[in-house]
Amino acid sequence: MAAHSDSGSGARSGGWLSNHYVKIYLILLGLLVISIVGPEVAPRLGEGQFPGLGIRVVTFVTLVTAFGIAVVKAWLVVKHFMHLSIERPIAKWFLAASVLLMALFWGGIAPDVQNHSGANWENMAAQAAVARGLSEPEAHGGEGEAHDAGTAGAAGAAHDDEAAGTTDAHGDEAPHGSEGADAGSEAGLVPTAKSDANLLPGGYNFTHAAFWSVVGLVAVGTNAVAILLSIGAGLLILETLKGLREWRAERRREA
Amino acid sequence: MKPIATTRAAAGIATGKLAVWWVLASEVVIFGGLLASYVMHRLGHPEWADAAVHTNTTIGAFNTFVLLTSSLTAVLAHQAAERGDGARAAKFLYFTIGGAATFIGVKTYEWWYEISHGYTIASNTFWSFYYSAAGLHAFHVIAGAVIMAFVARDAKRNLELHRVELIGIYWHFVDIVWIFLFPLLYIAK
Repeated sequence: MAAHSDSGSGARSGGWLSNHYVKIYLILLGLLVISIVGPEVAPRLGEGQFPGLGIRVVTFVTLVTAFGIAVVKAWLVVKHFMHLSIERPIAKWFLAASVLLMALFWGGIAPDVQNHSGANWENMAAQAAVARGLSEPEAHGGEGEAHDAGTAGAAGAAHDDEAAGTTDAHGDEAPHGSEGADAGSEAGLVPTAKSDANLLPGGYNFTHAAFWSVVGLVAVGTNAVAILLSIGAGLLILETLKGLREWRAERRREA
Repeated sequence: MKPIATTRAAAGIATGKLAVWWVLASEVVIFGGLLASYVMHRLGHPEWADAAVHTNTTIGAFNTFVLLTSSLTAVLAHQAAERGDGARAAKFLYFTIGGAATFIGVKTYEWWYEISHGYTIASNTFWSFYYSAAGLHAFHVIAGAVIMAFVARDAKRNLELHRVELIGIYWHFVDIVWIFLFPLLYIAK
């Protein structure tokens, strides 16, 4: 076991509040309160912008108090509870490799997912979904009253034509009727009864079990295999080198 | 004969602990992929705010409090184990399991309320992400609590005390995942 016990002064010797871990815990609770209160207070600060930053005060305060503090809380837990700062470098390398993989994932996918159009492409189904969602908020639960998924789906379908028509980026009216629906589906224009259908090519959507199965297999498969093989190979090399050193030392002793 | 988890140290780190860090590295990719996907879609779909407004911030905050407290008891268990006090370590581990049970109990009530009001995993994409991310996290909470019960049973008899640290590291990671899930699902409205 690693010698971590000295990092805490001990609950029994100097009372609970003198314990290092209890102090960190109290700081975490304080940060939790700020992360809850901050976004609640932010809207009362007005619609002004930070000079030079080009960002609304509300957005800035929410980002800092909700997500900035989440990062600080996570860092406190990693450093003081998980003791990563005094852990062997290999543990840090493991985590750094995973975080790097995530950054690559984000960098590669974000431009296509966060945007709904680019230089040579346009995700009209996603644009339609946004327009439909913004124009029909009750389809997502309304005013906080009882919400029926089937009703929402029907409501979404009832407004399909309108949504498709308003988001046709080329200015043409979207096709109507069954014939038009086929043509529209091909272009990703006409959603089905489910409000988020056709967001992805091939008819996948995020409420479909098959989609999550594929995502799960790809995520677990590709990443786990890569990490597994890399770490396994590294450890084998280390073990081999260690064994060689011991074997040479033994030979020297015999000589 | 001592177990391989405590006797072999290929990289200068006990193999058991190395394995835990290795598991966490893969968990970073699993949870990171899910959360990154959520954030990317959330940024591209402002209409999700209409759905996000229905998550219960009070319940989310309470569960955050519960998990932070359970992380404290987990690290106090580790501290006791370092001193060779297995009985005390076991006591703190049982407190941690209690935290896990509270978290799951509150989560069950929250989901029951939401599902009974029609917000199901198939309602729309936001709720699909919500249940997937929170469900995957809850599964990790349950798995951690079950493993912790076995570790506590041995620790009570002063056996395999090194495992108290290993399950603690895992538990803190589960806490960290929730630290990010809370603002993403409950605060960013």
